[in-house]
Amino acid sequence: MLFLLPNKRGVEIPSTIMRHLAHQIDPKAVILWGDDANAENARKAIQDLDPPYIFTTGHGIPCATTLQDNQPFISLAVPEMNRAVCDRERNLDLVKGKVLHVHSCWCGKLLASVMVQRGAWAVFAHDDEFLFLLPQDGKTIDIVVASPFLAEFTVDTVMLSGHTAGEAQKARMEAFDRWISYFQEGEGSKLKSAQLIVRILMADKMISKLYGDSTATVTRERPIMEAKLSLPLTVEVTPSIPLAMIAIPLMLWWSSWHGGTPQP
Amino acid sequence: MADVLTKAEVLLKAGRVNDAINVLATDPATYNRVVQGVINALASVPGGRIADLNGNIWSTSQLIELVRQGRWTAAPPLINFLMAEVELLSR
Repeated sequence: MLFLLPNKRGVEIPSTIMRHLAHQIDPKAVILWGDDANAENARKAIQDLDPPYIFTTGHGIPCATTLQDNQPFISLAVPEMNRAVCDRERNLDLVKGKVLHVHSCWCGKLLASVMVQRGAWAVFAHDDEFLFLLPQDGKTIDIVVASPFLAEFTVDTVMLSGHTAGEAQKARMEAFDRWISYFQEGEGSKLKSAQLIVRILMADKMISKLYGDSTATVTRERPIMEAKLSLPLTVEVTPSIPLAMIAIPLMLWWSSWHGGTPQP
Repeated sequence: MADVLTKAEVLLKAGRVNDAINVLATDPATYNRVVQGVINALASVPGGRIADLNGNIWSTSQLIELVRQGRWTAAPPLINFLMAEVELLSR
C-alpha cells in the first residue's frame, strides 16, 4: 500500500501521525515522505507498484488534492473553480480499481465522485474543512491534537485488515463517537480543551464520507491490528527553505555591515 | 426547542446557513444556548488555534468575537461548530 505524506503548509501533523502508524497498519507500506511526496514521485510509485490502496493527505478543494508544496496531484479541469490547480485533469487515469483515502479538505464535494466515475472502487474523503486544534507550543502532538486524526485513520486500519469499505466507514464513525464520549464523559472530560475538541470531532465526523462501492476490499481479511501511537509526539517538518540559504546571506550582510563575525 | 433545532439542522445540512440562523433566532432562548455553547467551548482554550488541512488558522479569541457579532459565516469553522452545537442540543 502507498502512503503519500507531504509535511509542509498545514499537513505536518497528520503526516507525522500517519508516518508513525503506517508500518504498524501495513508492515510493507511504501511511504513517500516530505519532499519525496511530490506529484511526479507519486505518479511513478502508483505506476510501478500498482498499490490497491492509497492514502494521501494535502491541501484540497472540490476539484483537486495536492502534495508537497501544494503541487496538484489529482485534479479536474474546472478552471472556473481554481485556475492554478484545476487548470487541467491530472492523474485520474491512475485511480481505476483502487481504494483511496483522500485526507484533504473539500475533495468529497466533487473530486471523490468523479474518481469513482473514472473507476476508483471506493474513495474516503471530506466534503468540507477537516478541523483540528494546533499544539499550544506549535510542535507537541498530544491526545487532544491527535484525536481527530486517530479517529479518521481508523479507515486505514480497518481497510488494511481486509474489511470492506462499508465496514471501514462504520468503524470510522464509531471511532469519532468513542473519542467524543471520551472527551464528553470519560477521562478526557477533565482536560481544559475537552469542550472544544468535542465540537471539532463532531464537525469532522459530519464531513467524513465514503464514495463508491461499500463492498470494496484491498487485502485478505485478518484481525484488525491495533496501531499504537506513543504520545506526545513532536511534529516532523521539512524546512521550506534550507537554513543555509537564510543563514549565509544573513552572515554576509552582517559581516559587510559590521566588518567582522556576527556579534550579539 | 426541539422543533426549532430540527428545522435548523435540516437547513444547515442543506447549506442554508443564514436561514438556519433565522430559524434559531425565532426562539431566543434556544439561540442563546447555541451561542453560549460555542463561546464556552472556544473560551475553554484561551490562546488556542484551530486549523484545517489547507493551512488556514483561526484563533479562538477571533472566533469568539465573530460569534458575539453574529457573523457565523465570516469564518468557515463557525458553521461547522454551529452544526455541532445544534446536534449536541438535539441529543
